[in-house]
Amino acid sequence: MHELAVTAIGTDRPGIVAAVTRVLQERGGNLEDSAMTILGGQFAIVLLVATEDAPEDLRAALQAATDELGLTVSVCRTEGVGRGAEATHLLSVYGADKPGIVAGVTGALADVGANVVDLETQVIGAAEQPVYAMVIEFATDDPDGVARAVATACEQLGVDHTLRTIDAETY
Amino acid sequence: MTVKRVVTYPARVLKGLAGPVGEIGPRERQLAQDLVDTMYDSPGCVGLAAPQLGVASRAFALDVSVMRKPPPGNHGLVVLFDPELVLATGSELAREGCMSVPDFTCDVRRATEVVVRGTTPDGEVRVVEAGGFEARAFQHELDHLDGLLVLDRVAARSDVFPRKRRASKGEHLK
Repeated sequence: MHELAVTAIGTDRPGIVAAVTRVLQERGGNLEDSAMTILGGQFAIVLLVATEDAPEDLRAALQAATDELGLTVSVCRTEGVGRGAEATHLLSVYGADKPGIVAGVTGALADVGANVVDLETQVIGAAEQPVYAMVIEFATDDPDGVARAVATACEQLGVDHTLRTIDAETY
Repeated sequence: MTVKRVVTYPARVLKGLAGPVGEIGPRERQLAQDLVDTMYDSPGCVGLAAPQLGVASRAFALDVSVMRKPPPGNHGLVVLFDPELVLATGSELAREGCMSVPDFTCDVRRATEVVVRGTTPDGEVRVVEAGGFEARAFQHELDHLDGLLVLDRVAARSDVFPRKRRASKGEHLK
């Protein structure tokens, strides 16, 4: 058994998850971890599977089984199996919608060695005044360095932010 | 009756520290009336703070009795100037919306019991002990006076949800 990373994305419709996971089941694969969600009108699947399959064999099987769903599938080997980093902090960033918010803020995190564990963005607010909101969970052992880097980046971008430790009570 | 336009983010008045009201005169009483009139005129609105009317003053109006299921033991209309959170106990996660961040709700952790002290438009000191949803509403409005929005209160990525539909009257905080 080894671990493969599978991605599949296509226009959303019923049956996508069922079709992909049925192939894994039929071929004796074991679903280890997954994230599956709608992004705009697309349904996106990212998963890790423990399997005897070679990457190219699994990809061919998935592509064949999901042909009519029009999915784009990729399969590749992962380097070793391990637990991911545990998030220590949460950063909420929001501001008037403009290009560069994600790149600017995550660039600041990368510069101080913070490791992003989970990131989600959303455009919220009224249609005539869209607000870009981003929530990032990340791991760091240098919270002060992160705080300075993020504050500088957010000021340059003209966006608001709140940084807190994970599970902090907030009342 | 004066219904004012509710200011929405990214207006800077929502992110600043509101100043003390202090002495209460005709202008302050008009602000109180504007808050009450605008709150009652806005569907689903159970509270409104002065910064949401573009006024950087420590004042809010609140009334959770207009909810479809009014919380038992609530205080009806409460208008306070220079309010302070005297005591906060308990902790609960629940969904909140805000008129200043339209079409968005997220989960916010709040104290379940609070004591709030402030001055009424008549100039009297009032102390309110609130619980449950009303306590949540007080904390939401107090946050507005310190430039804090619900997005500053999320504690996990999973707290942020898209709003599924528009609120019917009294369904969530404003």
